[in-house]
Amino acid sequence: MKTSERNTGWRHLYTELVTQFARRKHGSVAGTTHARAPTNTDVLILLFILASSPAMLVTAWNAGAQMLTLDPASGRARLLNSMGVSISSGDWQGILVLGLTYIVPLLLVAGLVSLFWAALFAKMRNKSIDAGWSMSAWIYVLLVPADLSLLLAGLGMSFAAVLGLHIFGGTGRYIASPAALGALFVHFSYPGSGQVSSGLSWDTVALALGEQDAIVSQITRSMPPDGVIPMALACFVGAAILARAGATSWRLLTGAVFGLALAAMLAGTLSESPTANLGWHWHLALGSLPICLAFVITDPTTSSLSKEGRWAHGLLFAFFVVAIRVLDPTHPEGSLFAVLLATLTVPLLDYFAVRRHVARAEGQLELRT
Amino acid sequence: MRIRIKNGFDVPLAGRLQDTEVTVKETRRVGLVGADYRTLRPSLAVKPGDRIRSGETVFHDRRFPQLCVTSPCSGTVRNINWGPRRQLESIVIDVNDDPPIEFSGIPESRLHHLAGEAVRDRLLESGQWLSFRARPFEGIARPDLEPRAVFITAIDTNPMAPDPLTTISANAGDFHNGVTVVARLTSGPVYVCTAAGRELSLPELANVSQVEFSGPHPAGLPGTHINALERVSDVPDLWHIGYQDVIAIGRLFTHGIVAPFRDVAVAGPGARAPRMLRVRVGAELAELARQEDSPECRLISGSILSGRQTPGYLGRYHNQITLLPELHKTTSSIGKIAKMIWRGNAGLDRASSCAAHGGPGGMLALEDFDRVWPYRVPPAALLRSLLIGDIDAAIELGCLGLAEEDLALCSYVCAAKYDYGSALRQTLHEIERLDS
Repeated sequence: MKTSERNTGWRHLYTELVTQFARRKHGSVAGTTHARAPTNTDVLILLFILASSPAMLVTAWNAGAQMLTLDPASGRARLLNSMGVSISSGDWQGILVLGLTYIVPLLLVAGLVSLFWAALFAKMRNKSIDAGWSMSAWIYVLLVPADLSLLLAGLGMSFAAVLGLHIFGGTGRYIASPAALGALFVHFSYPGSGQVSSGLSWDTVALALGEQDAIVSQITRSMPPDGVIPMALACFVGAAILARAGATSWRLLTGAVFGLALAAMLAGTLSESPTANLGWHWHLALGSLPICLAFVITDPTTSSLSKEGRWAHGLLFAFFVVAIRVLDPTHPEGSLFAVLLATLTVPLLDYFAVRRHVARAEGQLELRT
Repeated sequence: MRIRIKNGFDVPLAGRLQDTEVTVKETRRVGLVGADYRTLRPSLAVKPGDRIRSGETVFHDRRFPQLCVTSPCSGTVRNINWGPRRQLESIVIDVNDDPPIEFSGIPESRLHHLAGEAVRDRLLESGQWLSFRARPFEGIARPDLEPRAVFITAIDTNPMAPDPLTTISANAGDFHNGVTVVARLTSGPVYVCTAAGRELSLPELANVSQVEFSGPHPAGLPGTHINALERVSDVPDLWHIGYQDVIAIGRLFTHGIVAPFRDVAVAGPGARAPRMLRVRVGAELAELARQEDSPECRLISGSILSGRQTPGYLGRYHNQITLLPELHKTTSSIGKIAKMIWRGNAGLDRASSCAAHGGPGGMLALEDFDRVWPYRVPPAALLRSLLIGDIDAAIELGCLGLAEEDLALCSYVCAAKYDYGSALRQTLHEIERLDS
């Protein structure tokens, strides 16, 4: 009993926290499998954060650019100017700094709120701190509007942490991505609470879907003002790193890209509208889809238990995205809803995968030869 | 017949066996390990201080009194250790050189004509019956059942395992006779499972056939062979036996002596000179480790995937001893990440120590499970049903055909560091309890 008391004190929680991402000495294996692979949940979570850091930087830059367009003489811009940082529309470093003045406080607030709940639940349950607190806060910031008030950000993060993450028992046990739930909570409960999306504004996508030619001509210029290409690239790099390291399923990613192509073509044959005829690669690059595809839908906790399930999960996600974008003009940015809808189908997909096996060979194990 | 399995994983490990020269090594102490006889309810025939001879009964089962465990050596019973809930932990014997108990030898030419009953009686009497284990449940074969099929495991793909063919070719006659005797036990098929392309001299009997398995581990596990060739029912009537026990049975019938010896590989990252030893079943591991072996090592009876550290004696069914360093450096997360991206997958990496690398969290269904899993069932679904104790789902997904060692690779790659072997055992216990 003594050891368990020692291991769950506040002091231990603190030590655990500082060592979570640094060096940590784990004990020896008990049981019959005497060696274990070095990967663990902490490492996977750190990998998610590292792989999405380029996307976070692009998000900051993008937020800065959008804020500058909305209000070139805002308080922050003037303050930065007086401190010697030149903030003008042509200067990407200045824009990045301006964006970081929005993103960094958001990250701090979301991180602290998430950590507070993680520590509280750990203490109440006599368990160690759930490793997922940092990842859910990080991804949450990627998904909410950058100019969200800090109070609302904290509120949304609390919703994500409590009702998305800890109530189910933490990483490996929740049903839908906590970050997506938190971002959707903010979106539904406080509509219009932020003008820019961290990923890309809802407006930009609406514009893109309506005026395809304008967007294309913008993108072919040297530096697209809306950051579509940098964001897509940053997310592509992140997704590639995660899939390469085995942290996410390449089946899910491939399924989603295939599904997107298929759904976009299908939409094109069914309707004449410009939104329906947008090329599938634009669907892939626009809005918060790159972020959702690379870091949210691929969350290993919510992924399907079977290979077939993972293919289907990706396909369904893509179909939902295109369906929401094409059929519902009031919500052109549908990736987060699609994430949620697709994730909720996962238990059903797993059920079908298991039934398919049972119908073929109940109680038997067939070799894959 | 040839069967090639596609998915699996050979855990890379330092300290591979180079030399196949076998050295005979006697230990002063020998232990019978209770965990090997998990399904028996022991009724002891000896007490501490008793002198016994090799082949004499140490205890027998309460349910089937004809099932007896015999001593692998002559000596004096030193102590009998009980674990929690009066489970037999180990019986330790101090070895002396009294002669073993002998049986009458049977000429080779008569082995074909032995009655099944005669074979059973001699196997039971000599304690060699215990070499047979049965699926489902992986318990010791029941004497009241006739096996539907018998699998002779003459392949070993465990990390650092010795090559069975070396031992078999050195004892070719005994192996041949052993197969003949085993084939008398059943009217069903007897499969001799080997690695691909290995020639074996087998008796020309209608029900004996060689099946060649290739591919990564677990191509050499009896579970893989059983599930590939037969359908598991709810009665434990699919038996399997290791190659060294077949050799011992051959010797028992022709020479009339129980030969409780094993050729084991002593290997692994902690072994300075990986070597082959011929030791008694139950030999004390600490005595087998040499001065030059790393002292900070875990001595594992069996492989790193499904071996046993306690109580420190060579297990009845083990063909190897692995030395794995206990002491380990702290590991940096960034280093691990760099390696994961460089090497290209999360779980499949070299094993170098007993480090746990993390504590239990929620199970994450990563692609790694599919890479190391040789069957068509979605592994994560089966593993989750075992973790949550969903018996119906576990049975539907085939848990009856499995034993702990079949899930060892899943435990190895698991990011949440679960021990799926013990989860499987709990589920199987529960199924047995509900059945009886």
